[in-house]
Amino acid sequence: MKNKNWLEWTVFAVGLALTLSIFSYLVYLGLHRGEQPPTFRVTIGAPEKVPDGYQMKVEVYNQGDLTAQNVQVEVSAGPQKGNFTVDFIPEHSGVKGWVVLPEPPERPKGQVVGFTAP
Amino acid sequence: MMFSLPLLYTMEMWWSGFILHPLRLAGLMLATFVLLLGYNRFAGLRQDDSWTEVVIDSVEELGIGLILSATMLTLLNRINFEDALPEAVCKIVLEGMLVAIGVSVGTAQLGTSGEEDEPRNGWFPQLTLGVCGAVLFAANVGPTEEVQVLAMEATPWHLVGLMLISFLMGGIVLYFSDFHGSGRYARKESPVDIATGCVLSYVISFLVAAAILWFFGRLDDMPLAFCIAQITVLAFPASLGASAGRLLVQ
Repeated sequence: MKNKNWLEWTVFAVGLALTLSIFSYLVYLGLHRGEQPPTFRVTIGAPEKVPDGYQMKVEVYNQGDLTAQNVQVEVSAGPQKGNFTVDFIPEHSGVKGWVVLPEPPERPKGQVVGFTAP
Repeated sequence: MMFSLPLLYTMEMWWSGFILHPLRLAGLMLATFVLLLGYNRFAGLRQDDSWTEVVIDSVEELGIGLILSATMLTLLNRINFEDALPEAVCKIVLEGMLVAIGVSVGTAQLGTSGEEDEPRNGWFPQLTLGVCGAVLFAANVGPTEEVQVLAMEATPWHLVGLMLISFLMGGIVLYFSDFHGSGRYARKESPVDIATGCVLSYVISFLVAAAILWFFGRLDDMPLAFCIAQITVLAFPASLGASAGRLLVQ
């Protein structure tokens, strides 16, 4: 102990505080985590004209308590359809994607058509 | 940090950060702390330290691991302020624990003064260092999906072959290669000693491989035969760690 300098004591104090607080947080998270399977909220932005057609920003939010994998997102506007796949959407977080449709989209609707459990 | 760098650049590690249950990550923190205590006690820079100092060193390494992990994950844009807090914290913890082990091994190895240390021949120090070596090697491979692919495509004969070569290479490194002063650490008084040493080394590797795969959720809801196949695949790098790695981290 005699050969510890102030820097080592600082590192120890910071390390102890970090380790204990993060450990307690993980235990709290673990004990309070729900088991609600993934459910999604899909929000579609305004279409923008691009050279290939009309591009819309799509935000997908996972409202469940579990992570969803291979999430397939589909946007339809009348007969037109666009889609993309997201590798993972963790619980209570969202991702952004874009779809491009050839014609001006009217009342576009977005939904998640499938996903797997990791 | 160079010991744990591959894992900071591994996709499955970032994913595991939000797939794994938080209580499993809390268990990882505890297990890492115990491993650091063992490593710092028997191979740390100041082996004559009291247990209090070993505890202090281990806490310091955990803290450094967490800070380095958070910094690197931010620089690599794997976490940012838009992420949900649990997701970011889980990623930092998962990478941070492995960085902490790297910090511990790194300071002990790169910081040595060049003086030859007294060999620690007791079975408990050697067992602890064997576990450390196995974890250090197998943790770099364990989280990848390749282990599952290899286990899925292996026939029982491939697995028997892997088991035999793990066993043989462990024995050769420990008893016949004179690798990194192996003779000083591994007792070879009789063929029985050698056989016991090889078996023990492989048992450690098998258990460490099983623990790592369980931790990453690779054994959950899987049939027993597939679990054993995965463990056998991972036990090969683990056995190199428990033999060669153990001699290197002395």
